[in-house]
Amino acid sequence: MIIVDVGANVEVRAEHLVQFGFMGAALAETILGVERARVGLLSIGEEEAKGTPLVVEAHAALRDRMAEGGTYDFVGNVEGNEIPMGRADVIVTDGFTGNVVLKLMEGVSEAMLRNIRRVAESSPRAKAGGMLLRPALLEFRDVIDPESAGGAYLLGLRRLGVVPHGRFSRRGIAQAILLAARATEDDVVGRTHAALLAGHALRRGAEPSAAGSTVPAQ
Amino acid sequence: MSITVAVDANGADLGPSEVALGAAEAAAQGVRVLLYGPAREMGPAPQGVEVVDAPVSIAKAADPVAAVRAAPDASIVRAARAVAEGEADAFVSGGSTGPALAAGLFNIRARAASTGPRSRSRCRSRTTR
Repeated sequence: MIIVDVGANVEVRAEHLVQFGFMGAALAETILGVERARVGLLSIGEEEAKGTPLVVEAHAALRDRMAEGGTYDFVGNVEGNEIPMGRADVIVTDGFTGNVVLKLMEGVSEAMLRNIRRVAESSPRAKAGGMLLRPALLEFRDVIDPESAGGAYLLGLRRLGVVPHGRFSRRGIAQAILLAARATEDDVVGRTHAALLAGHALRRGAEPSAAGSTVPAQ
Repeated sequence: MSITVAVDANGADLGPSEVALGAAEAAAQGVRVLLYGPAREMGPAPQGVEVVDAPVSIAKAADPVAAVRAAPDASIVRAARAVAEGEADAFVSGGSTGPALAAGLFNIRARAASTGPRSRSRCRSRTTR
């Protein structure tokens, strides 16, 4: 699953959210191997009238543009609790909300692991179970570790950028560099741009808005 | 063909030396790295990493757009310029989005950035990462 935007644009217009949808869908198909990416718009209810005026406008625009394009499926509004559940391959939102979502997911994952550890040490019986679970939990910790993800792609430019977390160690930095190299080999820039053109998501001669998108650990 | 990635060593919480160690790990896996940052703090260049001395950091600048304009020698600006000029295929920032975005917009997409106020206002957004 991919979230666009996670911090490049704090404020956006509806046309930018449409661009994020097409760029995210192309990215999902390129790096996640998804076919016919499902694109959802983050809101506070499933009904198309739910959300801020911006979200309502973006909902209609995404629905129309994606139906016209015929390449991706717009699955409508997605609520916060559905983000980790896989109802959409791409979650579209503004950079402020996306950044909060990303960090919330990281914090919740970390707190959950800590609680599991606490519970697993709470009694002799739990300790025995904890011992048995330990290898699986360590593996899970690696899966949800943001450093494994390497950071966020900076999309919408003519070349690719990758922005790691400021707090990453050498391991996360190395992942970010490898992520940038792989995305270059996969021609992420060319494919996202082609998706924007095919979806008529750009005004004539205009450049897309740059956006940060990430595949959060889950 | 080997891929070249331009890396800004400034901006990471653990400092340029930690970024250099990460660059070394990536280089060991076959990526060519151009590393922009304070050479003094980064130590000798590991195999596959080319260190370019760029001690100026704008990673913590309050206004990334103004900082990118005022400091053409800043490490992130030089990394973005390397990509714009074809010396590298992609760039990695040391950890702050704002300067990375601004440097990317002004250098890699210079044509668009100079055409009007719309693209300028777009990259004035502040980020927290």
